[in-house]
Amino acid sequence: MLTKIINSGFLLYKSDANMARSILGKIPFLKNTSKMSEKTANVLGVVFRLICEIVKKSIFVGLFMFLPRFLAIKFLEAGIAGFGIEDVFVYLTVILICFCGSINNSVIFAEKEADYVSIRNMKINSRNYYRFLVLRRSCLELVSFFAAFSIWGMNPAKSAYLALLIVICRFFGDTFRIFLFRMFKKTLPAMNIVISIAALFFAYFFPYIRGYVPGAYNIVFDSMWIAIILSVGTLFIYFVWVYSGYSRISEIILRKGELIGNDEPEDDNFEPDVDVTEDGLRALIDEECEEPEIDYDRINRTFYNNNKRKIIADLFIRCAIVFCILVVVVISGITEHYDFIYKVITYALPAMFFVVHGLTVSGKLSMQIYCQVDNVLLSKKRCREKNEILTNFLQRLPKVLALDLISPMFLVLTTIIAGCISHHESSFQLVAYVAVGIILISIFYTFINFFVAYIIQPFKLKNAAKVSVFIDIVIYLLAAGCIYINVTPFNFLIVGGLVVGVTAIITVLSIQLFAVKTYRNKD
Amino acid sequence: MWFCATHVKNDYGEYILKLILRDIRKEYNGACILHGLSYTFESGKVYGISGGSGSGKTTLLRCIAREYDYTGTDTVIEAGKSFFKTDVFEYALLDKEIVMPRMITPRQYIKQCIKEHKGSIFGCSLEEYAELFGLPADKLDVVMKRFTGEELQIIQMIAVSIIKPAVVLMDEIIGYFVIPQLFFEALSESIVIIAEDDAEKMETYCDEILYLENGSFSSGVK
Repeated sequence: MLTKIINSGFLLYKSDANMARSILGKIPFLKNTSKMSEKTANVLGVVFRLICEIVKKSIFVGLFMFLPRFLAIKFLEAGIAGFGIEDVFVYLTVILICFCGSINNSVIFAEKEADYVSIRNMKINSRNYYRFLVLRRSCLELVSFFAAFSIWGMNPAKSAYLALLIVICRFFGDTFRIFLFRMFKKTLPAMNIVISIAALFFAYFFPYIRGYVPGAYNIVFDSMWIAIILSVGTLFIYFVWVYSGYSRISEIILRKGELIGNDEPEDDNFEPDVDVTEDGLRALIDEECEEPEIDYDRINRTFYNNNKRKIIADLFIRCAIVFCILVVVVISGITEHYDFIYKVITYALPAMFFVVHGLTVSGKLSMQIYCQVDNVLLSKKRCREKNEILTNFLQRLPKVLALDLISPMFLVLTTIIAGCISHHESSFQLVAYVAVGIILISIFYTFINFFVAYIIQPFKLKNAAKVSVFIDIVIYLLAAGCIYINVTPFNFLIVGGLVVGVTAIITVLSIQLFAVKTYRNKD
Repeated sequence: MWFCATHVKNDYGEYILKLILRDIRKEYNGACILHGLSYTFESGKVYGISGGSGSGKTTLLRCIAREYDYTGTDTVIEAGKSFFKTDVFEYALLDKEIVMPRMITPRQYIKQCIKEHKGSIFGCSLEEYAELFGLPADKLDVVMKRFTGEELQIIQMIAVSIIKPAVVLMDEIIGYFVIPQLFFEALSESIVIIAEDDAEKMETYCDEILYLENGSFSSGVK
């Protein structure tokens, strides 16, 4: 039985083994070890994966738990005095890893390339495969989180218990996602965004305005709670292990369209209007490149027609999230929590860096534009010229700025409503600052996303069009770090305005000067 | 709408596999691509589906392979006692968009397919078998991230010939390279369906060619 389960994960452990072998092969004095036996390579692969996980988890713990605590102590008046490092670890672990991570990152619903190949191409039994995945995840996370917590100074016994709690919570997350899948027959990506924002709010914003870390530590290490957590956890583990619907899950979620970012049916070149298909777009670009002057506006218009539904769906999800905030505001107003609303608006601006980053669509749009339009355009010699790249950029900029502003404007409206509800004397002035701040931040992200697209160009076209995860993480971390900016709203606006201005100038100048070297086609 | 692949006896008492499509409907952007399409495919035959651009060939294959959702009215099928409803494990879809593991070598991949499905390669060595399909033997130990789309396609075809899924669906790939007869021999107990714009390209491989017109089949030509 165990052999069958381990065999099911062949692709994963063999990929790790090959990766370890290839890395060792590149180290001069270890070159000969690349000719090792298959078994040795497999063991090395496991060790290699374990080291990777420990490094990843240690960075995660350091950035999300240690650094905020350090910054809070340094910059906040109230700080987090009276609470040791273990309190912070436990509180943030429960919110960020056990709650948010477990629900958002279920291995069963990950839709990864290896899952598709194993189940759809190699026809490996899906139940055994998913069992392998949860087993592998449990072992890796138990060891890596234990090591990460210990490295950052937590008592090893408590680290081990916290790591065990994480593993159990992962099973809870799987069970929850399976129930959702059974109800809706699909995964719900919008739910991930909502849970992430909620978790980050509770993890950072709540302690930030209240000035202390709530007592998760006592709850988690209470002996009665240990018994309850372990016994309920056993039920989740049993449910995930014996679940019989894995075949149905793989049938619905493991689709090529999802993996290659082509979720709309291609419908066999079904063309009600040649201009609204991807082939039509290519033909149009070819046609335009024959003309003496390229009509970029026409090409961009065709791109928007082609992707109208996807863009509307993206904006709809973001507006729905803002609507949830509006509902919370209205409920707080009905329950007469006026001070709470005012306090949230007061501290909202730094947090808006993170929120607005989630609301803007320019990052995704610039990737789609690159993949569908610019990758084809840049294959033509004349389109690679400095002036052509800048003309194209300047023509598409207003539309992207406008699209990026849609959901932030909805957030502005929500802030205005919140200001009206709060009944505070100075709330109107404050709301005005926040509203202008939101618009500035949105414009800031539009330029940043274009800068990243044109100068860093982190898009991968192999199998799937996607943005490099590293860049995404860096932007998210910078946005999350802005929560700790501690200035008055007026000063924030002054500095923010200057930053936006400088960013816009740097972006345009960089595109004019450097895009000719950095913005290339990848076919 | 139902898909059903089932082992039933033919007129000579031999067990054959049947893929029965009933009332398959697919709409996209308000346009009807497949109009309640029905047909029965049998194992041991290679079927070709031809039709103009936009006739719904790719959509049909992807609906069969469960890559697309579809809508329609449920119809009860009587297909003998051994009737069973199928899932993704019965289908292999070979098309231009290929998803393969990047850090695995073809040797590891193919060997695992043989091990997992107790498959055979007609008594050949792995090197000989790969070369029959047009993959040079010296490439068997190179990780697949260094391979071109065509080479990956060949590796996928080798794997399919070993795994022998009940239904093999090939969407517009026969124009790119010559498929060895060995591939079809290996799949003699499977149902093979090839979709291509140009019916002439399929004539060498197919026993029966169907025309897809306005979302439903018109009569065959071969």
